[in-house]
Amino acid sequence: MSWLQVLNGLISCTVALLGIAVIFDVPPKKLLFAMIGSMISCALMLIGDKFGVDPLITNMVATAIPCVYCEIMARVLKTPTTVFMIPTLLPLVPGSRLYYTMFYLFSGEQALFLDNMLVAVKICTGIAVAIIVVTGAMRWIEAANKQRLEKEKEKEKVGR
Amino acid sequence: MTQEISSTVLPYDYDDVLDTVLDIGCRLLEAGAEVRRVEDTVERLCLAYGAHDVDVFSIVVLIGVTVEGPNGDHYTQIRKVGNIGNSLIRIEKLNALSRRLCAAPEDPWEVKDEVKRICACVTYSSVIMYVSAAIAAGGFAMFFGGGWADGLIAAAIGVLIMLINRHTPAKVNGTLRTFITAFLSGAAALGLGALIPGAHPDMIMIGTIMLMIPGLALWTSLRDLFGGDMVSGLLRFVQALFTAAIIAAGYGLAWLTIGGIL
Repeated sequence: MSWLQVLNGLISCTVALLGIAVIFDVPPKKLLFAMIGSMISCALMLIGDKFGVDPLITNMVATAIPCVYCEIMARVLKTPTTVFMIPTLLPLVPGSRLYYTMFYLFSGEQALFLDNMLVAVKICTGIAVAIIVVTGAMRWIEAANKQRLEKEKEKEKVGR
Repeated sequence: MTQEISSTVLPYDYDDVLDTVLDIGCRLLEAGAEVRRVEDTVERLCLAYGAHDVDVFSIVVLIGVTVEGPNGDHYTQIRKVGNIGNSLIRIEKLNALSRRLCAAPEDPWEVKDEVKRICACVTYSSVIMYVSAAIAAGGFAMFFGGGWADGLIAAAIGVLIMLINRHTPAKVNGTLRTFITAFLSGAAALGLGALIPGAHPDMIMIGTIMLMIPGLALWTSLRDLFGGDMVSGLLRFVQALFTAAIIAAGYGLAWLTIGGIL
């Protein structure tokens, strides 16, 4: 894949995701931030594919980094994380792999069907692992912060 | 679950309060919010309105809550949730409303009206929605390797998909609608792909499939599963898988019939 193809991919994906974001009713004021997230995930995925990195790793990284971005933006803009996550994660869904899995299932070519299905499962696993790790880490940080604040409040009460 | 709060005596009938709070919870679920968020929101609102003890439970299509009110009486209400859709702005607005109410509780009847207004609000006009469906399908077709011909045909089919979604009567079974939409998209892709030179039906179909994939449901089901809501997570995940299977069946039928003929 040449860099020009990567750029082409990035542009077509971003335009497509703008459409998806509107269909999902992303608030107009948050649209730009959601699109930045989707451009990051798209770029990481395309670069991973260009350098031939295993799909599992590519999609893990391409999910984890935008996930962190979404969680941070959610807190900064006081918006539910989901608002940014949908346009960000949708390009990672292996649309073509799923399509070919279906196609080879119906046309009876078992070897190709299994091959495509396994790659699709790999990709989805990478995405799921990254989401779980990032979401878990954010929740853990929040819980730790909350505990720290409660301890400080108690100290103040005792101090009085 | 018990939480200690300073006793707040507000001049509202707690039945009305609970009715409004569950309205908010219900609409959040219908907009596609994850269960943990909804349960958390309902609990915070009940406590803000003076409850001493809140037990809220939701499995996506159902939400129920029992509270010990400010006067010591117990109140229970259960709601069946309507069709689960996707509306991120609605989740955002209801979330903002909840934050506002937790800081300063307001008259539940007025809040009920505001919830109705939020849910009736249309963010993007019909024209913009159709254009968005077109650029989404067209963009994905080109992203997955298609040329301009594929992009344009996929865009046209995207508009068709949006038309079917918006104009199917609510009484029609969602599964049937998905199947018919998938079949018609597949048929159109194969038909137009064969007629127009330089078009690849494969790329067109991939582009249109991306429009139909239950993306929000899959993502939310993962969040539910990981948040500890096994039942909700599994329910949503299986629903999403089932939708994917119906889409595959619809496209498959198109291949076997139209694809076979062509």
